[in-house]
Amino acid sequence: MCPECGTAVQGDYLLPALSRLGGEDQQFALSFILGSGSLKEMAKLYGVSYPTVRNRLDDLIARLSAIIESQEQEAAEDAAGVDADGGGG
Amino acid sequence: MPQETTNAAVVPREMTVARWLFNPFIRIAGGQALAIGLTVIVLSGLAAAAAGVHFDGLLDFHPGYSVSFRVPIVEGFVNWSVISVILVLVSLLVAPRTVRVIDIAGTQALARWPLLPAALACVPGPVREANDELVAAAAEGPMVTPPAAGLVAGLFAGACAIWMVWLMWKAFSVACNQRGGRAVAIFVAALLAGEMATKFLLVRLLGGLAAAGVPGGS
Repeated sequence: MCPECGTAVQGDYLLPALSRLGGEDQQFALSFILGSGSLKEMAKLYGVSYPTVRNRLDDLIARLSAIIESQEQEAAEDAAGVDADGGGG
Repeated sequence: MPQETTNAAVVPREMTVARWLFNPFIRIAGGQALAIGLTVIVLSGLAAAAAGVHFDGLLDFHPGYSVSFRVPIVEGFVNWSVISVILVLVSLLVAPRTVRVIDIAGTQALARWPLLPAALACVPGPVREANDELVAAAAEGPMVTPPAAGLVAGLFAGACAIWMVWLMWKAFSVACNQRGGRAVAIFVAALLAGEMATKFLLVRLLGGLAAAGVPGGS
């Protein structure tokens, strides 16, 4: 529960992979999409070199891949648990 | 729009003087780094010729020789192109996704800029004389203590060489997105391969030190 507004979210579901990224990663993904996916433009806009921006994207891809992989693993484990329960009942 | 986002989301850290000196590749890479780097290689070669220094290997800085102005410039280009080719090949193995050749070539060229102050430090007359004396003495017998001017310039040049290797590492790290112990090991192996390849190529290209007009280099 949020201590400020009292909002509580509860349920048996997985958050989308993008929602599980940190704030800065989400901000970067947003910038990238809104900038039409041009790393050159992003590098120019923020005054950094092209490989600096590209490395940031590569790191983000690695984190997203890890999240997706762990979600798939969780889903597979849940499915296996349901099958086991069903078989036993 | 991207303007609505904060720079912190994209720029990994602020550029301080230390970062400009030890990792300028956060801001400069690609064609811009290549243009600056190639200019610096030519200027370093000219300063080296004036100082009696030559770069007969990827990491070599040898004062106390009389060389044509062409020799250190050619050496600079060979050293830069060899390590660039090696690192491009390495990147195909370790980071095949999105590495650009121009980033590797550009950042490696720019990484050689500490050779310019190192060569300039050897230009003053007293330093040249000290280096000439030292090379002559070393050719005749056991090592002698270098004169103060030569010692100071030698220490400065040594520090610049270490600085250059550090920049070459950061250039590789940024251009190929490589970090950690495995990346360091790969980089060290590339340096060793580069050192051997440049020694071999420069001897073939310049016909050995003697043919290049370097005394005592037969």
